[in-house]
Amino acid sequence: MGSTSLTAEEFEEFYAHAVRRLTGQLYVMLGDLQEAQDVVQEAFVKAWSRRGRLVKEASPEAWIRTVAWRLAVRRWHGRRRSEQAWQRHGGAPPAGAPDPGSVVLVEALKGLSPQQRRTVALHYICDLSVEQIAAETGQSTGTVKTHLSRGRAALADRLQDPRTQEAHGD
Amino acid sequence: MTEAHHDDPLDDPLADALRELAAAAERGSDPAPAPVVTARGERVRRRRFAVLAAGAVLLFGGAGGAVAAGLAGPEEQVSPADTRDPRPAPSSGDPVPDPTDASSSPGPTETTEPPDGPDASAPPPTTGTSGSSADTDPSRSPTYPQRTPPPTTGTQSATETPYRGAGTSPPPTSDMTAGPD
Repeated sequence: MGSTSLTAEEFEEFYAHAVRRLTGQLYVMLGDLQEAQDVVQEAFVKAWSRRGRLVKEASPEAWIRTVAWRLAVRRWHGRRRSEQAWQRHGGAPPAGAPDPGSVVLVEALKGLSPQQRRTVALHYICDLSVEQIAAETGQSTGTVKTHLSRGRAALADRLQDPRTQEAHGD
Repeated sequence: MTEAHHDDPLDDPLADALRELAAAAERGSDPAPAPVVTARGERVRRRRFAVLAAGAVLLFGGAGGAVAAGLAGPEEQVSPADTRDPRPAPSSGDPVPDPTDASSSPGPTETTEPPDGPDASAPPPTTGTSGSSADTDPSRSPTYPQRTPPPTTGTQSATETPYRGAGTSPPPTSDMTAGPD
């Protein structure tokens, strides 16, 4: 079974190794830590029921990340139901108070389009090249470059950071 | 984290800020225990198998019903009530009655209907429905050869057969009362 599907121990090890990192990546993409935790967990639930496919994937983490992103996109259409679900379960776990810089950055990220946020996060957080981002998102390399360029420009404008604007100009 | 894929310098403030943001989220996240996730995944997997099994049952059940209907369909050729089967009965060597003349079909019930018939050679004033309903009665075909002429007259038309037979062969009792007398 080990050759065709992950065992429970292997899956739990993979979960413990990747869940926090994926949550951080999805947080940058979504701008909402609770939502990021939720979709990452849902993606792992789906991964458990498709362990055979997960083994065949070249990068199981990329598979989880893509599934979590799709779940988040689907949830945008039903955000009200998601908030009600959080309230039914007693609310989200308490998170530490964010520093002002993070708040400003998150607000600036929320000003980007979802695809720009995803592309920026994959490039800067997941260290993926333009070609790798194109392969994961199903977009052309030209589209990825456009998202990266416009995302950087929009963030620079919103953050009003001279260093960021200088780096963007380079 | 390496910068191998980046075109930006290592001290890119935007990249640093984004990484700091992701790291803060990693530290602040509180993921569910792995057994909880695997238990939920197992429930999802069972539910998916149940749905697939139900779909398979419906699919194969429907296909089996369609096959059974297709096998039974061509064998059961039920003709309408107002038409007759042009094929002769396999057991009877009698001439084939003209399917277009429904009023001339022989039968005991038809001969009793015109009680005041003046001539046995004239067609009885029966309606087509009574004749056709008599023809569709399968119980009548075995009695029909007893009242018809012998097979030597097999070339005669079906219109003439019953009434000639009525004059040459002993007719039924009802025909005697409604005959040429």
